[in-house]
Amino acid sequence: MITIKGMQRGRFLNPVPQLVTGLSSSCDAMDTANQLQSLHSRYPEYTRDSTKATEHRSAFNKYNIRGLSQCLNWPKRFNDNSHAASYLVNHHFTSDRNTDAKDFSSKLLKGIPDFVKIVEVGPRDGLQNEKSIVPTDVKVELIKLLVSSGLSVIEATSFVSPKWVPQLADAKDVLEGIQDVEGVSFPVLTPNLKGFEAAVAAGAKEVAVFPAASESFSKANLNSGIEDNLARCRDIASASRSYSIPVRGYISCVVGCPFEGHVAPAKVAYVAKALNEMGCSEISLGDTIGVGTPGTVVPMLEAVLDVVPVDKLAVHFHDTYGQALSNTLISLQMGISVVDSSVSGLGGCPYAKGATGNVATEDVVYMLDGIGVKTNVDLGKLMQAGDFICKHLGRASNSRAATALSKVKAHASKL
Amino acid sequence: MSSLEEPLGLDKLPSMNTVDRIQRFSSGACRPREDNFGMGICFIEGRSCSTSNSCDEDNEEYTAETYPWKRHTRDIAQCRTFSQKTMTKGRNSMKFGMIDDSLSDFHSSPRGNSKDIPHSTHKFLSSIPSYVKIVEVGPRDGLQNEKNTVPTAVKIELIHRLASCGLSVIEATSFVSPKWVPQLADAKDVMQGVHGLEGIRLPVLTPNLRGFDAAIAAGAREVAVFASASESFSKSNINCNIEESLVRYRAVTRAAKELSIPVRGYVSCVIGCPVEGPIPPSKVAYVAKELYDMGCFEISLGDTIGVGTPGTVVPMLLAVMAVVPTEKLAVHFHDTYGQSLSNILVSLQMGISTVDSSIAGLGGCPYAKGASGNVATEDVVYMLNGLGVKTNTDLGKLMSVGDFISKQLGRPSGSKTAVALSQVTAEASKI
Repeated sequence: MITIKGMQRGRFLNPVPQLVTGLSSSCDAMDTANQLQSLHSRYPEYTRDSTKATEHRSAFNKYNIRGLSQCLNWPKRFNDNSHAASYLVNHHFTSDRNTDAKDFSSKLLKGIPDFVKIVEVGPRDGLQNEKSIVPTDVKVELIKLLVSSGLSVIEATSFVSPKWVPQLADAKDVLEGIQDVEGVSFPVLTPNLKGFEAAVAAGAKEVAVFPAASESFSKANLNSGIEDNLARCRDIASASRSYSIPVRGYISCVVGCPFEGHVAPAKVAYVAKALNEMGCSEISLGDTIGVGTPGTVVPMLEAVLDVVPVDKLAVHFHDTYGQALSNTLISLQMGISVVDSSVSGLGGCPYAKGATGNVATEDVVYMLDGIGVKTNVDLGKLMQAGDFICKHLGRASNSRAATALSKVKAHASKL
Repeated sequence: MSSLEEPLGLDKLPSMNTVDRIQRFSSGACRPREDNFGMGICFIEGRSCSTSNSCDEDNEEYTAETYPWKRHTRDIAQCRTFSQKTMTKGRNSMKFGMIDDSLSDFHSSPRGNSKDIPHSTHKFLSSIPSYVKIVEVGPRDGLQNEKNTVPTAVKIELIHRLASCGLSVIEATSFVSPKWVPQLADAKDVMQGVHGLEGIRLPVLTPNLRGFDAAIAAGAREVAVFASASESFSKSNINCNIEESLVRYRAVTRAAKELSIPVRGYVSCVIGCPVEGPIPPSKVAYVAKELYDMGCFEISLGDTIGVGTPGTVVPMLLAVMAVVPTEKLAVHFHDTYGQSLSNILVSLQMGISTVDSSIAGLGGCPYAKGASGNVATEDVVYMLNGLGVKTNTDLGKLMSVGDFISKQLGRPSGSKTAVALSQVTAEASKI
């Protein structure tokens, strides 16, 4: 049945037999590297790359890994492996279709920035949406643990009225607790000028404002329409300018709204442009109810990229429908280099009780490590921070990577 | 849950109703019509239906025209995803105005309809196939890894319900020794129970000739074999090394060919092995090619322990795609580290058009107890719907099947989409 069809697709198979027959005799990693070497001698135009083969061989030597405890370090080693494999494929299969596939496939990962900044929102966005109220000293300890994992921006708290968000009523005390921490940014949310002044008085050095792209959501969540909200943001922006305090802008409901349904990309672009013009240092695009997929995220990002430069944009996806990582991936492919996430996936989705909310920082870092993107974040230490807060909240982590890795370590320690 | 058959705003788009689209993309009468969930129309002819995505060959003829299409298809699909929620949410919050208006506005606005996507973003979505076949592995791969053994009647009921969701391939069971997999000891009875299902392909796992004979005797019309790209995993999982397993499978495929039974090939540990660590892509390509050469019509590449990320998936797929045609490949990602959907996305971008998944994310990862395993079918379908990719499956019906089996197993669903959407409907129904 299939063989006839297979021959019709013969372009795939023609250049293959020699090399693959060679491979099939032994699939030991060393032999593969040796074969690479012999092929180099057959294709002298690639001699300048023959030194790479030696590097690859030594890279392959590292691959005799034993033991489950090695799991934590796999992603980094994969990258060496991937160069060798791509080399194998790239240079020795010359069918047109395959060159296209190789070129395109490298484009899929090449556009991804070399460095991605993670903005950790667990202590604010995470804890704000948790049922239990966490004591101040636990919050401060969490922030300090997060700092030690290498995160450079951690949203510390929010100066909204404790009437609305009782979980963060201790904003002033939290800021006091982290006063002495150097080298890390601690933005705080400020919904209005009053909140802004309280934040500055408490020692805040960076603030954040949060308009919505949906009129209904804005009215329901912030008690004012988009325009009024933007006006308030402008007040905060000009006040913060006089203090030389940077302002981060958040836009919620950039893909969908629990009331209006689909949100037009043009609307998101409008709000983003306004935030950019009023002087926000960064604009974080939030899929508040987590309904986005690349099909809706791409048009939205396109519209915003028309009016705001890519290096000023961040993405803030919720994992309510399990879509956050794939949305993050496509955003990275489009050049976004700042990702918001929450340790252990803290923070549920307020619009679908029991559903998950923020994407877990550990899962994001796992993916970025695997792609070879620098984050300066240590996954192991990050997991410790997550473990700490989850123990305190008395619930399991929402991070799949953290759960899997902790089981693996537990298993390995039994050996 | 509202039906997803009739997308909103279709009258505002230039042309092509759903039937038209199906005919465009299908070869002959192979694909089920959208209003008939795979029962009674798609025949297992042993030729075109058993090859994965024979439709893709027809697609190429229409490339010039299909692009503007895809945009519309995507819009409809986006609309579909939201219409389901807004119809339930709408009742919740009527005071905020008519939901439908904003959706129609989106479709008739220039941006939503015929505006060309700039090339820079177009390239990340345009290579995604317009139709993706979902291979449902819940009843086999899912239940095989569940702690509790599920009664035969429940398994049969599960398969029947899955069949009504539009799925065209459902892995029914496995003819391995009950000593190794007691959860599937009732393979013969399950096959008998699903005997009457027409128009659905029900592959079964067969580790060797004996299992193959038992499967045929029980009425199986499609089988699957499973080799590993890792020597150690092969030894520990099926008690023989890779070469020996391939020899066994050649016997199976030879016997299958005589009976015109299609054989699906699985490759496990395509990214990493719990014992060996990272697996070289060339090794995966070797095993995949061997399975393809011996006569497997489709090769499913499985990231058994879920450690893959696009950084490792892309080189692995490149290596395999160099030796096996893309349309014969399927991807089978595990969500143990939460990476499956992003891995699936990048695989789709590379042209893969068959995805294995498990209803409600059934099936844990045996190597990391308590960690999740298979990716949930509902989550995959949600993403594909959002991408405008056709699957012929009904998300609402999938969710109710996931609900059914989760209740039977006494545990919450492993699908985030199912959990979120069921909370949404629960809230709406309180009004």
